[in-house]
Amino acid sequence: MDILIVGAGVVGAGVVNHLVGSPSTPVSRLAVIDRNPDRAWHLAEKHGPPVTVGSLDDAADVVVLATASGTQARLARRLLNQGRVVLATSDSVSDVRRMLGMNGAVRQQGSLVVAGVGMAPGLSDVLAVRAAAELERVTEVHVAKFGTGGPDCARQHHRALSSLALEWRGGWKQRPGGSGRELCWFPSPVDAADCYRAALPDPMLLVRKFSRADRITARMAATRRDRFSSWLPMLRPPHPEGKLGAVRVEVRGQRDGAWAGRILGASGAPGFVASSVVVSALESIGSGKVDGTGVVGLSEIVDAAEFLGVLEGQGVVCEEFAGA
Amino acid sequence: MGVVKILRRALVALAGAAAIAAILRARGTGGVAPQSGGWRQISGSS
Repeated sequence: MDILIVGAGVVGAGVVNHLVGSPSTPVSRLAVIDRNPDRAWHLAEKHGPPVTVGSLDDAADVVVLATASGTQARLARRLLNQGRVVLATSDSVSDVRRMLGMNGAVRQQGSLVVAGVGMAPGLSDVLAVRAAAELERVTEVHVAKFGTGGPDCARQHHRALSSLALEWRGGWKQRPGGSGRELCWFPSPVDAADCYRAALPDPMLLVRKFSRADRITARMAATRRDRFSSWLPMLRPPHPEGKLGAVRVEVRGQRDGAWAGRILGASGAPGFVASSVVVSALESIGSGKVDGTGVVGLSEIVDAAEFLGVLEGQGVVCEEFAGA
Repeated sequence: MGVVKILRRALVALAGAAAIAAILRARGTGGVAPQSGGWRQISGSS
């Protein structure tokens, strides 16, 4: 498989590290591009062949977009090619909305764009489908995430908290970001964290799988200071990489005529989890288990149980909350 | 003089509302932590 990775930040470099050390995804060429050419050169030098420095015009079977959120819809449009697969890691509402709007053009090209291949959206969608497997009817899906990957991810987190949140309540509703505090219990070592509404694209992708649900929401963990200062420019430069992260999905519905629910989650550094999700998706593509054209979410093209098994092999363990 | 008085009262009311909103936004109330149970590892296929 010939892979082009656009962006050599925490996620892009993580994908390269995973792929170089993983024999399960056969890679003939792994080209890397970054807005800072030194970062791409550094990665290529560090690993040697098959990692090389590429360009946007390179021929590749699969393109992984690991650039800052907000830039990926434009890149996806530019990099569309006959039969090519594009994996976009963006968690920006505008990126995902614009990518979903490209569906007709992507289908015409015979290409496949997978929007939201990261911790959330991405793993969150797959966990939701896995949790819903035993339910006859899904009425509610609630996603919460904790932590950020690299500096661009932290900036997106800051923007999301001050922007309008999208919620599905049988129709789209907009709510102020930073509202709707809810104490969410994540897998260790994160444990409990206050989560708030924010501009997160998860509901836009989940509604494609759970169109009959009454409520689909997404929240992210934030401190009181984050919430209070979200309308200001970032007060200090973001950290190079967030080491603590988690995602949690609660699905409620009916089983055997009774109300039932399931909570699944996973923890790990967000950059590591996102790159593991990308590599697991690449493994599914490499083994020929992914086909189709158009713009889709990750959970629409993979078998949830099988995907979580592959992800476990990459070091991301999924957990279920049992209790009350 | 009457206009100045009204303006001053409006400003005081606005400042008071802003202070209360800031306190509510920064403090608010949290939820209740789970009292029992915990996370258990699942394998991909379960």
